[in-house]
Amino acid sequence: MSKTFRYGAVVVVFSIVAAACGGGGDTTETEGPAATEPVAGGVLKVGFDGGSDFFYGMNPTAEYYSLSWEFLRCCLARTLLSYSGTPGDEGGNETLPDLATDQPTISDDGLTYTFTIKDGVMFGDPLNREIVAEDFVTAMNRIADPEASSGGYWFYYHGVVAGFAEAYDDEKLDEVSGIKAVDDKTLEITLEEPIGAFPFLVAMPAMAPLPAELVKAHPKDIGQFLVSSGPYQWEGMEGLDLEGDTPPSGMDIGKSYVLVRNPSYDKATDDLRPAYLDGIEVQVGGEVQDLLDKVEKGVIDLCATCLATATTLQTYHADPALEERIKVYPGDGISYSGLNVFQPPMDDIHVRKAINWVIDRAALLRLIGGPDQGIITSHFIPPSMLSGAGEEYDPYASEGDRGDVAKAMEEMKLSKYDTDQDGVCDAPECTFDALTITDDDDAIKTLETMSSSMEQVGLTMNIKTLTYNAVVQKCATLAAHQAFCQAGWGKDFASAFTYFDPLLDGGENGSNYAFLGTTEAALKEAGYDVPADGIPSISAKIDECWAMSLESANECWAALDVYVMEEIVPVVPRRFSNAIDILGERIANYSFDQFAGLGAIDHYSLVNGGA
Amino acid sequence: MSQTHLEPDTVEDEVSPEPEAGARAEIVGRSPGQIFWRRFRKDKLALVGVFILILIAAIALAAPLFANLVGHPVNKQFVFEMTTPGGVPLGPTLSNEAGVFLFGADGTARDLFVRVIYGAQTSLIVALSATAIELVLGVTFGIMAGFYRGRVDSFISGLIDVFFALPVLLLMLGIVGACGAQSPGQECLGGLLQPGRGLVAFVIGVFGWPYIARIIRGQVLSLREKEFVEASRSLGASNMRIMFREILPNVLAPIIVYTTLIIPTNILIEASLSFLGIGVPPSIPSWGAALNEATSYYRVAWWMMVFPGMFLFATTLAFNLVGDGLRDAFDPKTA
Repeated sequence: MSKTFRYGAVVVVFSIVAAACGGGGDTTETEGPAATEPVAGGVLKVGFDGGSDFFYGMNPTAEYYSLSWEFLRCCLARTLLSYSGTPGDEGGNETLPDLATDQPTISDDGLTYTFTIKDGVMFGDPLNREIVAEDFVTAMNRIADPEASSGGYWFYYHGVVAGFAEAYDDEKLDEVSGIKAVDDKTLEITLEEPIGAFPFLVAMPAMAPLPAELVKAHPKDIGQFLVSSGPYQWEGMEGLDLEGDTPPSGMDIGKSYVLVRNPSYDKATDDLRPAYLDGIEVQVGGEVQDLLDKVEKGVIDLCATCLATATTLQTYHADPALEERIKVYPGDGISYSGLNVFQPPMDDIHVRKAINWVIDRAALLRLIGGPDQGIITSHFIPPSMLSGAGEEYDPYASEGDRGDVAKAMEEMKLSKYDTDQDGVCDAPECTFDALTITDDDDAIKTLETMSSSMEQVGLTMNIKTLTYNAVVQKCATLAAHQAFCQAGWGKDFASAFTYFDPLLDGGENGSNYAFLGTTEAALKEAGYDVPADGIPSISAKIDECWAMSLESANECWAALDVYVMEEIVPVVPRRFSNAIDILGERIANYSFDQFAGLGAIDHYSLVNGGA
Repeated sequence: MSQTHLEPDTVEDEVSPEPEAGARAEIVGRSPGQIFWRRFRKDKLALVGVFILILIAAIALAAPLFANLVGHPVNKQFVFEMTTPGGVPLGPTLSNEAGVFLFGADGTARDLFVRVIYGAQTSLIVALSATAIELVLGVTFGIMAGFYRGRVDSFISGLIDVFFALPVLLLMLGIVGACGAQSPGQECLGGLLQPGRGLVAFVIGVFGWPYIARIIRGQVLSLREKEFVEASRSLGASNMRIMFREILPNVLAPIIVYTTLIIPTNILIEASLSFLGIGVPPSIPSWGAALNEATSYYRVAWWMMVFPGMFLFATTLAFNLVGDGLRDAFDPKTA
């Protein structure tokens, strides 16, 4: 598979966004505060903090944050295969038939997937027509349109679906040859090569059916006029002039969103979504702590984007009535630091290993809220991505996870930056910059704590803060010579591929802070010395695992995890982060959606139906 | 020879407080300094301000000694000693296994007392440096505008108006943010501006000078018409000499008064920038940064807001009290 064109998405989710993309930990029960039979009805009041929103205007082709994915999955954009909106241990990471009648039929060579579309599935207002195979073709062609999918995850399909690469790369070609509407109810997708994880790609929101009339009328602002295929739609879609410029009343980007029931939705066609609520009202804006306080006071039912703060967790844990309103689930995400393996002193593997040894991971976890926030790790891939393979792997184990200074010093002695081999870094390069986000208190605290640990082996970190976008831009730019960056990541789907590929492959791809797999020319142009022992890359190993079936790939990915953490060490993993939801007192039913890493909107119900 | 022009009503001779009975009151001649001090020392609030400032300056200077005394270096963390298992910092204690924490711990489990007294260093260094920059620029431009009048005055006054029209806080945010994390080849002012106290002081100072320039200009416009200026000019003194040796000493009083009033403003600006997360780097203690962090903990860690807030309040109040006292002492007409 060509890697050259598979990047461009900047989806590095720092802790502020990691609420939606979290990572591993202990689970709790799925029932809400009032464990009664869910009653349909009522309107859920949701807050988004000021730094979060549907960043691409709810364009289903480009939205690449789990917050948007949840709203698309639950409510607006059904797909051929989808997820149940449940935790991982209840099958929440498995793809199930949604708009398709069943799992696809796969040809013997593994290249052709045939889907049969359910009868009676309809688009909502203002079209109110049946969804047909051609609507999926329209969606795929739109993914292959670089303008429409800019910022999205088109690269997953590039080189995978036959003809996609040609359509994406050639401006004159706007149809993907590998997808075909055999008839209204039969869709055929042909792949370039067998990919075990392809069903996950089918379940991505970008593959939700799109009516051609909508794409034609609103190629640039499609999200505001999105014609729903799910149980809800924007308020004001009824009777809307789809050719017009006035969006529905329920869609006010950056301010508020109102979802109401889709009158054309037939519950009988949907086994995945209970859809108890009559509506969802979202208000955008406000500080995290303020919004969490509003949840506690019952002003809103939940803050979908807020990371639970240590203050809130302590307040809730101190009161048994409140404590049951904390929902903690492993979020299939990781919090880590990316090390630019070409920038001194990180160009020395012994320095990178010494950092991994010396970090006090237990202190790091405690300072941001303790066990609720996740589980400590010193390797990269959450075991949930590997069906448990590698669960016991702990390459930088230390007593109580407090860090092992002796081993760190032993490692540092081997470094060229420890000129007198006393275990303490003493070259000028031992002082370096570390970047994080200005208003991310937890990230700053984390860096300060790591800095304290690193001082024990002579490494001095100058902590600098910038806006989110500036941090991403600098950390992802080879020429910025940024040695150390804070990062977090949540899966795109349940495969280790969605960690290795975007984060540790392809050089300057937008989220590969280690720049593994870059080229000699790129290094020289950015002013680096080309390593004498070659440029580290895991491209071939990724391709090898990616081509395997899901089951057999697990061991392959686990082995790659070991290789990365012991032979290259481009990261300092800290924690498989949890997703934490704090629920308001009105919420009666809750289910964690493992796919998006958020509470499943369609599973929420209100006490007495909100009456 | 320099000549100091003094307004008649501010240099009045005073009557001896206890004249002999029946004798004509003896007129005692006093220097302007004596007159100032006699007035200033009667202002009890101003004296309290001076006392507070001396105390805070002493604390700031002795911060390393205090840190040694309690055994808690400024960036040393006590995560397992001074936080709950959920990461919430613990409050003031005299009997923690890690020693005495007079003000409790901050959000990163450091000794808040040590952070606060080091924060005094940051506040005073940044505020005084910024004020110095403002004074140099403001006084220079103000004297030149008032003295030369005409085109020079128009240009400088226009420049002042431009600065007044600028969204100063936004510009400060932008510059401090942009220069706060530089890449090789993209340094601010060729690397002259490095992240830290100097950068913050520079930005505050560069945008603060127009206020003092306008005040000085007004004073100089009046002074340049006085006889002592005419006398200097008739003796052949150069413009530079007249401006900086004859006129400048006569505007020292408003400069001193205004200085004491802009220092607390600058302290608050530094605190505001740090509160917004773009002041001094996180490893440097700052009252503003401490208050920012406290907002996340105000329900469970009151000490994080109270102690830095108390020091910030006391310092700015003290400067203002002293400033008011100085103004009254220099110019009794406004008392």
